[in-house]
Amino acid sequence: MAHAATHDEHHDEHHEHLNFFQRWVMSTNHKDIGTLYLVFSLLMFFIGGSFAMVIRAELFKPGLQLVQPYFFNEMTTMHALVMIFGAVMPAFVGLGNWMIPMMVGAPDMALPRMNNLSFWILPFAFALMLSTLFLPGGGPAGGWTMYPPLSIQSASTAYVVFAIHLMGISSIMGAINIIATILNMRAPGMDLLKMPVFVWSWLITAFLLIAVMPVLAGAVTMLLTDKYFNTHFFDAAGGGDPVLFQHVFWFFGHPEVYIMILPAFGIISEIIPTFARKPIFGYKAMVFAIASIAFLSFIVWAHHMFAVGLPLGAEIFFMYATMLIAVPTGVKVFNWVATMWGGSMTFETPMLFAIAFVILFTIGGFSGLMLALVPADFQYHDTYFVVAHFHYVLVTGAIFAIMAATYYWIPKWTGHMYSEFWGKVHFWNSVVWVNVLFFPQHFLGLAGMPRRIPDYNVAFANFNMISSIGGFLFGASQLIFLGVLIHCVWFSKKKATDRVWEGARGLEWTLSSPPPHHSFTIAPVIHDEELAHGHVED
Amino acid sequence: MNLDRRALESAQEQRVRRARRTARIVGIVAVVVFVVSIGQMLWLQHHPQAHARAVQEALMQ
Repeated sequence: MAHAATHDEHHDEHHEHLNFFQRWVMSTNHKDIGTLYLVFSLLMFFIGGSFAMVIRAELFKPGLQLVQPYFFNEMTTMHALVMIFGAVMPAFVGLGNWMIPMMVGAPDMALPRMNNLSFWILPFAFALMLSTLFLPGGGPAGGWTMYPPLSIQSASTAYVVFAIHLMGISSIMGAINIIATILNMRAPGMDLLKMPVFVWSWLITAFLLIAVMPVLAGAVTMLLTDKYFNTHFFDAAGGGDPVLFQHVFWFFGHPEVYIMILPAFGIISEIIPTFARKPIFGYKAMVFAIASIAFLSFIVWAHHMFAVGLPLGAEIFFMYATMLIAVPTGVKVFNWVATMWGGSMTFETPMLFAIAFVILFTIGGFSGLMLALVPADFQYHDTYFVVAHFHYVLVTGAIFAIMAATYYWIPKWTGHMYSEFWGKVHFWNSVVWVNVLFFPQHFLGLAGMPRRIPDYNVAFANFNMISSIGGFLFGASQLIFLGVLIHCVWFSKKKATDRVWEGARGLEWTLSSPPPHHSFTIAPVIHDEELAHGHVED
Repeated sequence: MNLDRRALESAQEQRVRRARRTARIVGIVAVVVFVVSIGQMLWLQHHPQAHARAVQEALMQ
């Protein structure tokens, strides 16, 4: 596929003489910035996870036992904000930073200094947001959706809005960089329909980010002006309408869900062919399915708002548009299964996570279809059924894909193999306890337990206790993940080969493990038959 | 005689130049989306009858 990786000795020597500050704070290298994103994301995963432990501890039994209701509301709000904007999104940006230039044969991202800036904004944004927990008046407690008028009654509105602006700027700059890199920096011969599915998924995700992050920025700016500058965008007393905020928020919020899942689809589409030792089934269909899902994500936002009183025609439109998403998603699931069908499969840790993703994400997809039905949604709205649904999509979907990607690519990044035994221990603990944690929440929701409450009817006690036990053990299982990562990076003696996995195909595997600090300073030569998805008929 | 500087660029330099142009265009799109998202709300504020009619239609059903 490529000639031997181009290793710029001069640059690597230069890189080794950098001190810690120069290497990590001033870095413009896509691999270093990718590592920074991933480490930041892991830190946020544990902080957001600790908030989840508080929530599950309080809900272990009926009655108030550990925290005050306002603090509980702060925990649910912060858990969501930290996990969405601090853990899942930066993890995907980190994976994209590491892998996209290597997958398309580019020496680095197109705009390396902007890449540095887009990462280093994030720690400040989250320091600002998390600091509200220690300030008089407390942090945001109105839910991550920030619906007015509740959200602007909090003392921390200005802090949170500014933090969201910073996160938005970071995401938009990251997306601009990814679009510019993929569209302009590909090696000669790496046509768009020869790119790995992960690169395609990120290109489409980056366009989604450009289309919706400014909308979120606009929505929270209007919240800010309503609170401090006497405007009445969402204030009914002044002629505004709080429901308008919901429309604007969900015009951002629903594509945001796909921003968190499309790169996961890309990752799974890389891993399954490798461990099935077959090219991906239906490469073009996979790419068009991602694009279709992205398009549909713009015309389904009001399915989050069926209960506010929409015109009947709008409810029917949004219901059918939402159900339509099942078609391209189904194409993807069937194609992953068809890729595995008849393959020479092995079950290393990344493949285990990928298979768990396919099964458990599909469960989350089915409960999403149930929520898409207007009459059913009137029953399920704001219950634990919704909580169960989106955690199946985001934990066993997005986060399992991030874990799969980490196990899949960490030997390439570090040059060392992780412990397969402890990786599997992590997987089996995660997959068992995550189901103990979230599956009972379907029953709680169907029985009518509302979300975002610190206390509940005794009728819900048993399933809540089971869910909390699952939550504590799922949380503890992630310490195994941390241990596997630390061992792999600093203590593993087992060297990784360049290709790492027998079935791995694509440009990135032609580089050494770990790859040189500057890879592909001379554009590689592309041979179609060595591409990850095999030869594509025109 | 005018020197065509682009003719002297390496392939890599051309790619980077085009990437910067793409980045500028995408950045402008992002700013436009931000302005439009606030602008449409401002428009609704100044056309309360349009908003009131939409709300009334929704409530009638």
